[in-house]
Amino acid sequence: MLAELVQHVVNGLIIGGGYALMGIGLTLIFGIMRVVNFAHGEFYMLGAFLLFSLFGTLGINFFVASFVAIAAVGVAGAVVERVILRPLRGQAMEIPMLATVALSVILQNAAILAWDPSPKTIRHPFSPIPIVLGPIHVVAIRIFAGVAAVALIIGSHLFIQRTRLGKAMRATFQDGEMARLVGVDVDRVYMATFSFGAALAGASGVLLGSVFWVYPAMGDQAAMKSFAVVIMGGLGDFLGAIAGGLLLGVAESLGAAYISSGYKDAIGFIVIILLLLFRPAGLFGRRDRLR
Amino acid sequence: MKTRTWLVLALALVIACVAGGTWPTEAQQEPLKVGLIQPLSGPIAAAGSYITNGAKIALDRVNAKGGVKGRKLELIIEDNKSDPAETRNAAEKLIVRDKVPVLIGAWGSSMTLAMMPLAAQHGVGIVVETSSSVKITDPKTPGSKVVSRISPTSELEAVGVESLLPQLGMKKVGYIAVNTDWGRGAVVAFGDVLKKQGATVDLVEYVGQADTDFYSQLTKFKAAGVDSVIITDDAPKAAKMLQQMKELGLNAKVLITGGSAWPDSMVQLGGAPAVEGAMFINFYNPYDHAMAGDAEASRAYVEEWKKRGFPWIGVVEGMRGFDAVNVVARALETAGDPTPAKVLDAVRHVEMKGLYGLIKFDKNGQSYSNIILTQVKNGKYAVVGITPSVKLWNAAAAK
Repeated sequence: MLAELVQHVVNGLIIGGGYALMGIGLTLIFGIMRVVNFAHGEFYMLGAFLLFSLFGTLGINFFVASFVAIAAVGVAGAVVERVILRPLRGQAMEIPMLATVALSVILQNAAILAWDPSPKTIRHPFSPIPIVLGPIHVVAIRIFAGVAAVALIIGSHLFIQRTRLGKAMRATFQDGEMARLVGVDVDRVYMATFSFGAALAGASGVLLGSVFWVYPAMGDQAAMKSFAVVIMGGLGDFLGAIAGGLLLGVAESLGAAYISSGYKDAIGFIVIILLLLFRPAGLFGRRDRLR
Repeated sequence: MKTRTWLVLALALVIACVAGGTWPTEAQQEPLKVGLIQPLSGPIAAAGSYITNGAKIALDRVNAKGGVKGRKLELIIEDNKSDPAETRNAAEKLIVRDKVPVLIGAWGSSMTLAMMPLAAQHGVGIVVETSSSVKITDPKTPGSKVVSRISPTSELEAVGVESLLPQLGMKKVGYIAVNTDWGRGAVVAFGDVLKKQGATVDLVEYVGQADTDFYSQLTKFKAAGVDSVIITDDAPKAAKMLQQMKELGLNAKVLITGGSAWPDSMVQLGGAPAVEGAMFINFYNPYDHAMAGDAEASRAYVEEWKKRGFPWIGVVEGMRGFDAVNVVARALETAGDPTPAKVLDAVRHVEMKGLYGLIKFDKNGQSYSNIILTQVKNGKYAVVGITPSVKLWNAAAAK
């Protein structure tokens, strides 16, 4: 009984790490740029497909290919910011939002053309034989995905807290006008933010794409989950996104196990409704502070 | 004199109008349109694309042989985005704007059910190529009177493998199914057959159409100590479930229903070690043309599938689209006019050999296909047993 519970929690935490990565990217983009990015799931999909092509098709080393795929998604994010979002800046919030909806449709259909819709498996170098710790079974790729997600989350935190660019991002988050006045290159901050957010989604796609599989519509569900995570954590709340991601992963896993697996996807949204009722400003209830 | 000239002219006009219907005018040489609705985007897009590939092969074969009554056949293909509401929209577009006299579609049972009332309202027939929910050909279901289904119901699948089940030795079964009309219907159908054989379905778990992680459900199965797992879901997800069973150390016999998953697709998607021993209910064997109703068509279909470079794992799915187009072509050939009512009637009276087996329709519009039990053996395709469609037809006639 207890063993089963622990297994469910471990499963949930590992998937939750991926959700958290997605959520951090989305929350940063929203917090700093005030852009609701509906193409977030497509960056996730793009990361997974690039890994599939670089590693699966071209045969580049798995870890190198993962890194290149994440970086490439970051570059794609920067291009999207420069070409699509920057000209729309200053417009009402729904204008860039609609642009990202269009981008999402275009990217998903482009992926259908480029890679065909059949699901692809990434034949990662980890052994499929589970590691048995007492009654708990975990496969290496999931441990890798969990550890890598934690490392990326800590890395992102340090990047925002410690680096000059991170400080500029936080300054812009607090007050864009003021940041501009004291000499922060806001254009650069926006581009870096979108690129960074996209890369985190790409990283999540690389990790979860290796655990599960890769197909053009994979971003739809991932995007839905990341919106759930961001709403749980509070819009623009970095730590909230981490907690939200892990909470969602565990809630889904336990909900599917002990309530009903048919409602697994609904559970995240039930948690959101409860949070909005009782903690409308997010898990930690802080507003307008980038941490 | 003048009046008479006018009368003669009017008479000539009337004759021209009436006779125009039978003369080979330009309008009649336009291609005959057929609507095809499949999931071409969304989580089950791969399956929809395979069916479309098969349909195109059949279409080109029909047209290469001169089309239907001298007219070319044309497929108007619509994407239902793996979604029931979108399926209804697509059907409306095809019926109202393109004025197709007959539809083929729409893969998933929930999707097919969504468009049936609309098609019935317009009197447009639907040839159902994949969906297995019993509801679709149940006379009580709204719109079922326009349905002619070439794919077997979950019930027929269960009946078809009934005689083969005892040798599988299933006792304590965990059932994992997609949370749609298809999955829910299959759980009932197989539950009944298993109960008759003394097996118990201890746990039933439903999963979302776009789910990728089944650890929760499989962990429960493991804790409950099931000896067999039955899966009703599409090929990619079934492959993932098998992988995750191995990852969690859940060792059980596996039977996958529905006909979309088969040994070759499982080996490719899940890797041979994870899927070894798994069994499948299939309706078509691309390696043994003699098993199909029409061996010559089967050979030509597989050759063409390979020639066009379509993914091999989709060949067993694509055959549904191939048969559906051939049924429609046959019906258009025998229908007097290509009006929806006449085509619907003609479809219901089709009797032909296809890849599914002997295709004809009972009073509810249901055809009985071959039911083939297959298995991954040493990483390769193997046939465990077959219940030919003719046998199912004879059994039904005896009743």
